[in-house]
Amino acid sequence: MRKLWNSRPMWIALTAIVLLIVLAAFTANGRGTEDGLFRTAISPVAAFLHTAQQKVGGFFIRIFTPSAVQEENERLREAVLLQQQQLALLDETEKENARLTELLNYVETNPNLHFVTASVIGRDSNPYIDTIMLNAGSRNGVTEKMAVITPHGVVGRVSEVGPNWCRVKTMCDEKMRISVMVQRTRDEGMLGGLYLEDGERIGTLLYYLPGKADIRVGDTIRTSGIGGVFPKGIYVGTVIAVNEEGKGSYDAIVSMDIDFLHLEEALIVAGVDEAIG
Amino acid sequence: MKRRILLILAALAAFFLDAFVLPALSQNGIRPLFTMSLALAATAEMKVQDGMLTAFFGGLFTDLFCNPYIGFSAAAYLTAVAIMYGFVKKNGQRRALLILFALVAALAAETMIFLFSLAIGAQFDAYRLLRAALPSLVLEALLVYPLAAMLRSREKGRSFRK
Repeated sequence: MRKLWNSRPMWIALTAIVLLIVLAAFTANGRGTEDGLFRTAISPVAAFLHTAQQKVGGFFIRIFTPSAVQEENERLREAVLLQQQQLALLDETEKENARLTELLNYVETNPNLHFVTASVIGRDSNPYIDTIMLNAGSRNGVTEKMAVITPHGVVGRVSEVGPNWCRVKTMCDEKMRISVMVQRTRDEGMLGGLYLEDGERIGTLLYYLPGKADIRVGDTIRTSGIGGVFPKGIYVGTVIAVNEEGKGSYDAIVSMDIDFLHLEEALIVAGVDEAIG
Repeated sequence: MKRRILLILAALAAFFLDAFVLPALSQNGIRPLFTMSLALAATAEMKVQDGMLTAFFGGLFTDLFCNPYIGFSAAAYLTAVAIMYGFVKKNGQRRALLILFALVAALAAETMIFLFSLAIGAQFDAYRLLRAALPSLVLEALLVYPLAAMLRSREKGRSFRK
């Protein structure tokens, strides 16, 4: 034992151990080289090694446990896909729920009207979409010339009916006309035809108001009930411009709130309860 | 000199294994410190200076790139080398006892690392520590045997006593 302690390598080792422990304690307290130039100098190498560690480690994991990792990856990928599909479905259901709730509220606030609820199943490829197809037809009691509306206003009029479908001529059709009135003044007129600027639909034209009719921007336009197709009082739109200069034959431009390009459900007015109405 | 450079390169390779490869293969935290096994094998089969050199550089690389403090792994590996040197000096190169010597030396080094980590505020779950550390120690000791055999074949029977 004594011989061992007398050996030079043992003393060198012990001295080195003590010095290294002191150095470790010094750096562990954050005073020494840890934050100093030395660490700064080796940090690029350390960063490189860290990246290498990630890649080399991953490589070896793949080599030694390929099936387990691949299976785990596959399982996780499928789980993520499933979650994404469920999220998308949930989102779609929420939107549909909101739309149908809006329709239901509208139906409940108009007890004198009898509706057939229908979904849009087809559109014209025409950018101005003058007709749409709904999934309700003669089997549901739908007939030609029935009014089609939403809580946001008038959509159009049924122009063709099949057993389980119908085609609706919308307010975007150039030849579509409906009788309307200005809610504030009760002045009646005819709404129809597009007002375009640079090819873009700005609104629908309002014609044939009485000569001294008082119409202002912001006035609400509703159906007048004349003609028998559209029940009286259905919201149509809002006046966005009055033709004070007399250019053209129209009196005002009416903006309709319905987004015809994204319309998904509509209410077909199947009848009006005159006793209540 | 060439032999020393080769040993430093071997220590570097062992460090790469310790830092990059073995962590990826470890199960439940069980992984041997290859650098320490190499240093112990070098101590047993070559000169003690060779073991010290391997332990010092291997530990230093580990500390520089993997630890927040510098020098402690080197100190722990050197402790293991010193203990191994003591055993071999006293008992000779009894290969049957090599793994036992290595186990004691590695235990001392691991204890040192544990105590230092405790001193700087690290917290351990005792059960998990023992579950990972004890099998790692056994693996380190077992690794010494094939490494020693490999070095022996290179040294062609040369030992530190000669």
